[in-house]
Formats: sequence, structure tokens, C-alpha cells
Amino acid sequence: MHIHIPDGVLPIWFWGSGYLVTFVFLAITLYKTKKDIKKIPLTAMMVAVMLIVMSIPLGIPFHINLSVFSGLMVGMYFSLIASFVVNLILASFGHGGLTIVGLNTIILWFEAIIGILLFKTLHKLSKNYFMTASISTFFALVCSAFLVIGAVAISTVNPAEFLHHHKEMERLQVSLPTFILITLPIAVIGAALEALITGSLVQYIRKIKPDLLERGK
Amino acid sequence: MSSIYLIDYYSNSIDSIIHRSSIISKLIFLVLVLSSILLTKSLINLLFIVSTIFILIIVAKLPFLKILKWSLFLVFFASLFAVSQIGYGLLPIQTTLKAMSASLLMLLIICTTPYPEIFSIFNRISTTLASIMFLSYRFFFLLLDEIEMKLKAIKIRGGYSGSLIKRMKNIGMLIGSLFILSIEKSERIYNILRIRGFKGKVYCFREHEFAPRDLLLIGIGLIILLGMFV
Repeated sequence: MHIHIPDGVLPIWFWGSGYLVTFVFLAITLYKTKKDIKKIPLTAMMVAVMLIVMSIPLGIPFHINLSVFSGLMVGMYFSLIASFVVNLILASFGHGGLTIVGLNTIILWFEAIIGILLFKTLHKLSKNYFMTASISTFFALVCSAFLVIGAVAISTVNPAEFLHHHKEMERLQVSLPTFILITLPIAVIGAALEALITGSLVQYIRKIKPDLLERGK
Repeated sequence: MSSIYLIDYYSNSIDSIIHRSSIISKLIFLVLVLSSILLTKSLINLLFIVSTIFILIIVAKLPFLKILKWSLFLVFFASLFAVSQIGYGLLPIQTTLKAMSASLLMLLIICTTPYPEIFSIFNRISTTLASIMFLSYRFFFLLLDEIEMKLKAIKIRGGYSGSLIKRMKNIGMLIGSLFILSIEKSERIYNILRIRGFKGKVYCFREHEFAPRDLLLIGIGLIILLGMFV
């Protein structure tokens, strides 16, 4: 999941914190991966695939992003770089604001980390690649949906603070349950669809190029 | 998908004073104007910024209506926030205008600057990051043709009809074949790059020279920023 919030909507401290956290982790990641040039073309290809699959129409108001799958393919460090580049390119052609790149990078990377960790844990219990990848993706995406809801919940404070009017703030907070009611069912359906696709993909890769799954570890 | 094709075409094929300006001046302009958009609380200032960007789009010889249409994607999302702000005076209009001006600004910069030039700036920060950006941009166009052909084939054969599970299965197979193809391409390109001495850095030969024409964008950016304090 990622947020399609335009520039000028979120408070500066909020999107600024997103950038700060992203840049700190990105700096550590880029330092750690300095010598690992073999994964550069694969990560670049993953970025291209992620950008393309986001444009595939599914017939419902949701698009897949393959963040968990990219995490399984390129590993934890390179998935952060992939998430950052994907969001930066998306923002450059108006698919989300420039100020939201930091926050969206954290959300996509969070999905990838949860997905990788769950996949590794479940894989110790079962050797069924389809099931383990699907379950990991589903839970990673649902967790990320809650992260997005949390981000929006914080962002709704802004207009009231802007006006210094506390009674109005109470009124704004009422709209959050409505937002959850609208967002969560779509997110859960979307997560289930992406889980099915990721499961099929991992199973397919396992059959054709099993070494690829090892590389991501 | 076609929007990236068009953005690439506009940035590489059109010639205007803004296209010829250096990437450094465009980035300074971006920072100045974006800061003004984010910090301003005046509707007049926002209208001035939007009008200035409109004029610059015309000066850059970009298709005005097409750019306006692309910017509306974010305006739609901004309007959802704007609706929740009804009753707060001019705040809904400000929110919508802020989103629109920021979106138009990004489109103006990206449609007048080839992507590789933007990515080359990242070479100064990290060669790994810049290489991934350069290569993903190249791979994107390689894969785009493949996926468009495969999507057409799926549509013609009725792959988008039937139950949702059937559709997802077809899309999964499509992405699977796209992924295997992309892995093979990335491995081949990696081997080619290694033979040619690739050590993790992609070079961009366009120099970031500063010319007098660059003062135009920086000047406009400063006027917009100073306009906030008037």
C-alpha cells in the first residue's frame, strides 16, 4: 500500500520526519551495500517491474505493488533502495506528492520487511512455497494498511491545529472511523489478491529458478 | 503507462529556454517554489504561483491541456481532503490549489528535464542509488513493450472476463512470465556491464554548467518566495 496524498496537505513536521527516517536508513543501507554491485541490475529490474505492475488494471480500485515479492528477491537492504526509487519516480509524474516520498518509502519497506521475516519463519514450518508466500504477503499488507490508517489519523490533526480551534478538532476526528470503514475492506481484498499473485509468483520462481529465492536471503 | 513515454518524449524532443536550463537551476527553482507552496497561507499567493507555472508551461512549449489533465490526478485526492475541510473558510480551496500547483510544478520540471540528467545528480550522493535509477529507467522501457503486448493478448483471448480468481490467476501468470524475462535481461545486462568494466557507477556525460539563462528560473523562484512576505 502507499498513500496518494498531494503536496501541501500533510503538516511539515510529519512528512519531514518521514524523509528523516528514510534518509537515515537509506544512508546505512547504501553504506552496507557499497560493494554489492551484483544486485544492482536485479534491484533496478525489480523497480521497473514494480512500476509496471502498478499500472496493470485489476478491475477493482486497487493496484498491486509487489513490495513483499521484491523483498524476497533482492533482500532487506536493497528493497529499501527499490522502495525509495519507485516512490521517487511515481512522485515525479504526479502519482503522489513529492513530500510524501519519505513516508511512502517507509510504508513499502515496512511491507517488505514484515513479508521477508514472516516468509522465513513460516518456511521453517512448511515447505509449501505458495502458502507461506501468500500468508506472509497478506499479513504484511494488512499491517501496512494499519500503518497507512495511522498516518492518515495523524495527518487529520493538521487543519484544526492550523486554525487553533479545539472544538473543530473533535469534529475532524469523527471522520477517522468512516475512513477506516471505507479503506480497510478495500485494503483486505487487495491484500488477498496480491497475496494470491505473490504466492503464485514465488511458486513459479521456485519451479523455474529456485536459486533466485536464495539470493534474497 | 503511456504517460512516462510522453514525459520522456517531451523532455528529450522539445527545445525551449526551460529545456536548455541546467538541472541545478531547475532544482533550485523547484525547492524555492515548492517551499512557497507549502508555507503560504494566502490564496492570492497560490493563484500567483499557479499562474506563473501556467505561463512557464506555455514558454516550455508543453501541451497545456495534457499537463493540466495529468495534474488533476492529485487534485482529485486533494479534493477528498478539501471536502473534509468544508466549513473552515478558504481552506478547502487552498488545499486543492496547493496540490494542483505542486503537481504542475513537478510536471513542468520532469517534462523539461530528461530523467538521466536528474539521476546523474544522485551520482554525487551514492553511485549505487544512481546506478539503480539509471538502469531501472532503461529496463522500464524494455519491459513496457513486452507487457503491453501480453496485456493485449490476454484481453483478446478473454483473460479479463470470468471470475476475479480467474483474472488474478491470469495476471499472476502474466507477471510471472514478465519477471522471468526481466531476470534473464538483468543477468545478461549485468554480464555485458561487467565485460565493459562496470564497477557500480553509471556515467552521465552532460555537464552541469551554469549559463546566464539559468538566472531566469532562479529569479522567478526568488520572486515567488519573496511574494510570500509582501
